[in-house]
Amino acid sequence: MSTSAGLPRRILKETQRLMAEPVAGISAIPAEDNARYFHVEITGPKDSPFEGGIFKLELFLPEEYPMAAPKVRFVTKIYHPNIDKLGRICLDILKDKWSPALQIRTVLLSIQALLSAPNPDDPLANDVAEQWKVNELAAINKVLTVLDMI
Amino acid sequence: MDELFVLHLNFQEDAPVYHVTPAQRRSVNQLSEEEQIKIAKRIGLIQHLPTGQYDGSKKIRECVICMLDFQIGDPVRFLPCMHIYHTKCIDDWLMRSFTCPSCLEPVEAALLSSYDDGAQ
Repeated sequence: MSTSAGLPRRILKETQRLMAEPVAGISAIPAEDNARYFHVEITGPKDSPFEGGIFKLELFLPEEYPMAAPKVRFVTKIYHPNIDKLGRICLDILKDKWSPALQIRTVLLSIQALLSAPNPDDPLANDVAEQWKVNELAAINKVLTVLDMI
Repeated sequence: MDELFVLHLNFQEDAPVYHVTPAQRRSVNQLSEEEQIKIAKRIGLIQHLPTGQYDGSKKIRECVICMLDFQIGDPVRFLPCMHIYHTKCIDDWLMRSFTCPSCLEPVEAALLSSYDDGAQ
């Protein structure tokens, strides 16, 4: 069985579009041995604390996709109130606000936006969120430390 | 009824599988009575939504669920918000979440308000 056997046309189409018209600051490349598993890189958005960083993520399209959301996780360590130590992301569209009208592209854009606008009021990493609210500057310094930039 | 039933059969397992919520898969024989009623109601509501064949007259060209272009004659379902999808694609979603994938409008509320409008 080849890797694309039984792969929904939608996944092929999305993959082709991602390659043909990549989003600025985002790359998503399917693994050679599994067309449902993507190696993702997001560059830290300009004017955000994450600017200058390159973040690796993994994205997996479950059997039920697009009826179920993709599974996405940060592989690169990141200090962010909505991302925990295991790289799990607190983002509504990955959970109860998923819709099959969303795509890999829109999911990754939302994650990029989450880097631009951390939301400490809906935290996944409580300690990070607390730090973010109490002393944003210190939190941003911590971001840079984790990024190995200072 | 048969068509919807078959649609949600999971062919790897003996019993049909339903989604109590989009993330919760449940075999038909593990459903509580309350869940069975909810699913039966949902099937009824879905069947109240009009269906037809794609005739090319709509601005919408692509089914955003399967991302294939509509072909003339494709069976489609019309939601109250005027979004259309392949019947097979949207029914699968509506059994999980009774919302329009494109505008996220709850279909039930829109259905009820369209009945109200009709009555006035």
